[in-house]
Amino acid sequence: MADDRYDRQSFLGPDSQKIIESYRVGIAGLGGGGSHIVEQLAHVGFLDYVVFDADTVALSNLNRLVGATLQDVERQTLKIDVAQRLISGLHPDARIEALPCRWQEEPALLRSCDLVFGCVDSFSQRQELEATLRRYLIPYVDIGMDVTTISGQKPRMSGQVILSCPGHPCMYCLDFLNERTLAREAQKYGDAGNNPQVVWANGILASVAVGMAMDIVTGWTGKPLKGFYLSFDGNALTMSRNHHLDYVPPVCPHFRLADVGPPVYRRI
Amino acid sequence: MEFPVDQLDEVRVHVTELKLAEEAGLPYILLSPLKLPAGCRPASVDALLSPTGRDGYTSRLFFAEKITCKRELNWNSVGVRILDRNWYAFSWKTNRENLRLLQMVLDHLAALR
Amino acid sequence: MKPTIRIPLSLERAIRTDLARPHAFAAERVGFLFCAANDLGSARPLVLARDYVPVGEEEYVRDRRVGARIDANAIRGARQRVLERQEVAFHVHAHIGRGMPRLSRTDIAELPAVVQSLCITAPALPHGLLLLSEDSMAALMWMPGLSSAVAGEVVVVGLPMQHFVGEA
Repeated sequence: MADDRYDRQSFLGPDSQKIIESYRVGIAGLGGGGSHIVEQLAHVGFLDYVVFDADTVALSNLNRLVGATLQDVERQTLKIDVAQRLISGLHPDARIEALPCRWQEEPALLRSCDLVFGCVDSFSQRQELEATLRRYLIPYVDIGMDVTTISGQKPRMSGQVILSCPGHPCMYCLDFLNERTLAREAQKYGDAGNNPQVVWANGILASVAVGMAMDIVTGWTGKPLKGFYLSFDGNALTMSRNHHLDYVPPVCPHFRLADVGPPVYRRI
Repeated sequence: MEFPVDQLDEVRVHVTELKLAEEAGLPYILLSPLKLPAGCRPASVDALLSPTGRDGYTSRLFFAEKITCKRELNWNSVGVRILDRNWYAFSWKTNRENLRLLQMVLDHLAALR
Repeated sequence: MKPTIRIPLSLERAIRTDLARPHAFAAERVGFLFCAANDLGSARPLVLARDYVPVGEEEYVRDRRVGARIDANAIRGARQRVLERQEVAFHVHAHIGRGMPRLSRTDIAELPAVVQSLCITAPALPHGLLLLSEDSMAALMWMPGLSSAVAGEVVVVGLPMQHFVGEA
C-alpha cells in the first residue's frame, strides 16, 4: 500500500521518493502562498519541515489560507499549527519544527534546511532571506503577488516565482531586488499595508514554485532548469520567462564563494 | 573596498575595534563597541555602519540592541539581519553626502542626544 | 549527529576536472577542499565548501605501491591555510568506478594521519576525507571532541541537487 501511494509520481525517477523524503524543506511565511506550498509538499511526500510564521489566523485570511477554518479564527490558531495539521494529516510521523516567529529569531533552523521557500511580504525580507541562504548554500524559491490599481483603470495582477540558487543569478542580478525598490519600500517605514491577495493567484504561484523545486530535487526533466525568473500576469493568466534573464552577468558578482559561511571580518 | 586610513583613524578613537565585511556587494564597518552619548543605556554597543548607503539612505547605522536615551526614538518595528546577525535601526535620515566616516557616525548618533 | 557538507556544483566540477588530469608519475591526484563551518555543537553541523586547491605537480612522491603519495610540503601548505584562515579542510581524491566509493586499505592505513595533522592545527574545527567515484562521493569527518570518524552527508548544490550519504 505504501508503494501505491506515490505510484502516480513514479515518473520522477526510481529513487525519487527516497530523495524527497531525505530533504529538509523550510517555508518562511505561512500565509496565502506558504500554506499552498506546505499542502503540496505534504502531498508530494516531504517528511521533514521547518516552518516560520508568528501570526494567528484572522478572518481576512480565510479568502486564501489553505487549511484554515472559521474555528481557527475563533480560537486564534497559529498559522504554524494550521500547517502542522495539514502535514500531520498526511504524514503522522513527519518531523516538523514549527516556529511562531520570524526566521531571523531562529536562524540555525533555517540553515539546517536543504531547500527554502520564501513567501514573505516585502523586498527587504527577501533581501535578508537571500543573503542568508546564499551564505549557507541553500537554494531559495521565492513567490509573491501584487495587485496595482491606477485611477480610472482596471486592477493589474502580477506575481513572480524566482529561484535563487548558488552558482546562478541572484535577485540583484535579475533586478528584482534593487536600490530603487528597496528605497521606495523603506520610505513606507516597513508598512507592507494590506496587499491584495487571492487564493487562485497564490495557488498558481505556489504550484509553479513546487514544480520548480521538484526538478531541483529529482532532476526528473533531465534538462537544466533555465526559467529562474517567471513572471505571472494575473489578468491574462500566463506565466512567462522574465526578460531580465537575458541580461544577467555570467557570474553573480553579489554573492561570492569566498563569503560562504559565517561572515569573516577583517581588521581595518 | 578600501577606506582612507586617516578617516579610519578618526573613528578608531571612539571604538575598541574596527572591522570590515561585505554582503551582497555592500561594505559594512563593524564598530565594536561604539561609545554612545551620555545618558544612553547601554553606554556602549556594537554598531554596524553602512557607509555607502542602502535602501535609499546615504548611510545607515545599525545597533546590536535597542538603546534608551533622553530622546524618544522611532525604532523600526522589526530588526534587520545583516552579516548573520540581527540589528536594529531607528528612523533617522541624515541625507548629507560625501561625509568623512566619523562625521557619518556622529550624524547618526545626534539622534541620541 | 549528522554533519552536512555543502559543495557548490562549480567547485565539484573543478574537483572532478582536476582529479581527472594525468600526472607525470602518480596514478591518482590529490587536492584539499577548504570550507567554513557553523552549528558545530548542534545535531546538524554544517560545513560549507569555499575553495579547492590541487596538490602541486612537484608535491607528489614517487611510490609505485600506492596510487598517489604527497610530500610534507603539500600537507604543510594545507595546515598553513587551516591555521591562518581557521578553515575546515578535507583531503580529496578519487577512485575509479561507480557507486558509493570506499577507502582502500592504504587509505585507511595512511590518510587518518593526514587528517590528524589538520586537527592538531585547528582542533576546534572538523577535518576529514572526501572520496569521489565517477558518480558519487563519500565524506568522513573527525569532529572536535570525538575520537572516531563520522560519515557526513554531502550535498552538491546545483541544478539538480545531489545528496550522498556514506558510511563510516
